[in-house]
Amino acid sequence: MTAQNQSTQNLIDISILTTAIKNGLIVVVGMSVIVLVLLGVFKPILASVQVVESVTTSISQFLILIIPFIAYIMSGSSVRSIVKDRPLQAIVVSVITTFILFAVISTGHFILKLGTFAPTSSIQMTFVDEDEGIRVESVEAGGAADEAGVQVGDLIIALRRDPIDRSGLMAQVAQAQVDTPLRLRMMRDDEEIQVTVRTVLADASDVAGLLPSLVVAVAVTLIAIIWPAQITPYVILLTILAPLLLGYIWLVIATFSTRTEGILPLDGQGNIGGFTLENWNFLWGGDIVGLNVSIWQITLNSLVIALSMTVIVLLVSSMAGYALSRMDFRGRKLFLSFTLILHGFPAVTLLIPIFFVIANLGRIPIVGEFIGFNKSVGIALVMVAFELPLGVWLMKGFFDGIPWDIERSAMIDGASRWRVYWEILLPQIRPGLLALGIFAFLGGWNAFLIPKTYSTGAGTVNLPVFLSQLIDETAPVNWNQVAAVGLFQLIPVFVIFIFAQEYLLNIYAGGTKGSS
Amino acid sequence: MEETTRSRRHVLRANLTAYGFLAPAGILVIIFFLIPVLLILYLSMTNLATTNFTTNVSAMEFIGLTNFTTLLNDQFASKIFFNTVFYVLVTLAIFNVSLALIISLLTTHIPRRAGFAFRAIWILPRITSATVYIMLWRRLAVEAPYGIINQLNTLMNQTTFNYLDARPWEFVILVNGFIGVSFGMIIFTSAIESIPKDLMNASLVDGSTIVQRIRFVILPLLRWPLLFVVTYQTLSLLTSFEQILLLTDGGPGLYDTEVWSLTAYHRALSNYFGNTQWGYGSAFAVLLVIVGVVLAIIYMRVFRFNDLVVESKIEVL
Repeated sequence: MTAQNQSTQNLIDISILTTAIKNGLIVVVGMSVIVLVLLGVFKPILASVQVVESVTTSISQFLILIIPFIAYIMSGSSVRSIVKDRPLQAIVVSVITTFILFAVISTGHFILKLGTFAPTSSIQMTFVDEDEGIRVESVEAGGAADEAGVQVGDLIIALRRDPIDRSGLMAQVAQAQVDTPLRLRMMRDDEEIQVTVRTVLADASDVAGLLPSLVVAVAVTLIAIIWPAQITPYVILLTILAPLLLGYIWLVIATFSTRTEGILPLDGQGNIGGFTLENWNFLWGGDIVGLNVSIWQITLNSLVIALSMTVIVLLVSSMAGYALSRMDFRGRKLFLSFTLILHGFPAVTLLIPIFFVIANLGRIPIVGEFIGFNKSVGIALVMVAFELPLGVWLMKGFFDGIPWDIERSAMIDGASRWRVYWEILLPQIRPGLLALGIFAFLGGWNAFLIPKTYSTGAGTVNLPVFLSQLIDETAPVNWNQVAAVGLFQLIPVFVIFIFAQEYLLNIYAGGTKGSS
Repeated sequence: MEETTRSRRHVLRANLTAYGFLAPAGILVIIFFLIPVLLILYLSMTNLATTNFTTNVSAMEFIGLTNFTTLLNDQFASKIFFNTVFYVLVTLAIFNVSLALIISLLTTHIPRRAGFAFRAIWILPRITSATVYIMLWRRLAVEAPYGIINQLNTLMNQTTFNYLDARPWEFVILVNGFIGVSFGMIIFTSAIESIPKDLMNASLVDGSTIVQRIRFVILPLLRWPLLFVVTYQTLSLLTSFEQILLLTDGGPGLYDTEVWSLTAYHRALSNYFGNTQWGYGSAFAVLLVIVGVVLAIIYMRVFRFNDLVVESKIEVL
């Protein structure tokens, strides 16, 4: 208590100040080290093994961009503990911290030519807006504009053929790559002339540019102090999810509009709006991007694959799971460990030999009619096999969790194993069957790689394969119609998602076959 | 004497019933796992290609290890190998582990229902068909004015460009990473939720900060789940190529985003040059199969062996 009173008397609590500075500096130094390692170690290594990538640069740029903000937020949150009792002191401490951190970061930027000091595309002259055009105010001697012959007092009226103002010209220059020719139309002594200026990469030494960043820095720090902590997780979670959510939102918007630019629906005149149901015409026999195909035949193919897969996976897995859970037989341990190995094994690596297996199965009389190459059931069987290790393991787990009193008395009464399995046990593991069934159905409904690989004709094309054909179409396609087909395919998925989230979250930790 | 024959017959019958129940699964596993594994070993030692294509295994020409020596001397094989290492490591580090951990920490920190809702949304990429999912990402990446990211760039006066041509790896990693997050997220979440409340309360009473609690209470208890996620997801990333196939198909430049598993697929099943090399493609795939088998056996030993020891409920009656 006395310690606190004492520190209130001082305007600045030194210990809080040093903690705030220390926290900020740790962020700056730590993140800078990451950037240095990325650019100084990883990038050269990747280049030396011929990996063509810009990921290290992208991440570094992103980190460099956020380092200051994270540092200010860290130092700001360091004073949160005293903000209630001593608000004035908290503000003073945080502002001092921000100034110090800002100085450190700006020095770093200056030395490494980053941020405000980053070399930018420039034409090395200054200009101001006037009524008739842009007046050239000064020209850097020996610079790009000087070499091209621009003189002080020239009046720029257009870039190429387009009239332009100061901010427009600045944006054009900033966006230009190095050595981009910019053809300027100018008035000099009442005569129209054309001058082509080539952009150069020039060091910015604009110290005045630091002031806005300092204001932003202080603002960020102060916001970090008063920011309500409870909403931070939500903000972070939503930010990370943003690309995904934007994608799904676009899909829904696109299907109900004539065209979209970015996420905005537009009508023919380019105004926001343009609501239409035309994209859905394919449902009642309309063409899809000019192709006259029956969506219902394709949907039926999808359904056949998905449903036969669900039924077979459920039946086969539960039978095997029952045997493994309830019976003792020679080779049980072997079978169990084998199931487990298969559960970890990536079946998708076997696509090539399975092609030959299917081709040869097709030669078997009668049976081959159903399971050979280019047959929906054959395709479903491959996927059934891929999901069996997970299914058997899951079912065994569910059977293990059921007490065996009823079953045992039924067996003493003379019921067969099959009856016990079918009539007594299956009804008891309904949640397990539902979970595995959903998993198998989604797997079959979404199947792309296996149907694409093992079928060629139109007879087995399912919705995902059909969609990929639409996307690969070389002719210009109406994307909003393609989006509608995509959303159509997603409807069952969304329905399952809404009603069975709990099951989905449980089952996708158990198995991730064929997908990352 | 009478007794032993009866019980022997009994054992035999019990065995037969059990095998009956296991038969469908067993047959499917033999047809679609065992035979293919042996077949791909053989295929990788044949020169099967478009010119001498046959589905008759006995008619294929055996050439020993030639495909593997060709592979070692293939000028693109090393690039593809390092592409794969790069892709797996970066995706794993950023998304499947780090982001998964961050999301599970955040969603267990907020009220239960909200946390559950956020985790559920992360399942969406996994249950969305790869074609639709890739269509969404393409929309984010394409040129102005159609691309969603480029629309933001236009608003902020930045340069616009086709991200799939200019930043292919970034998008390959993002697309796969966004699917991969949910696996680690679910595993980590259940691990965090199973941390005894006493432990958390004790650390709260001691006045620890959130960072300290994560560092000294949560992370040490997550060591095992972390190891599981890392090993399991390495194998998934190594072998899955569906999304890359749809997004860049190994492009935009020559083998820029080509990974090992995609090469096997391209060579054997979908070649741009119309000349499929089944044998050579199998040689690429065989290496993945071997890695897969070895890692799968290791997983079984390390992670699930205890479950195996559970005895069956009903012994021979």
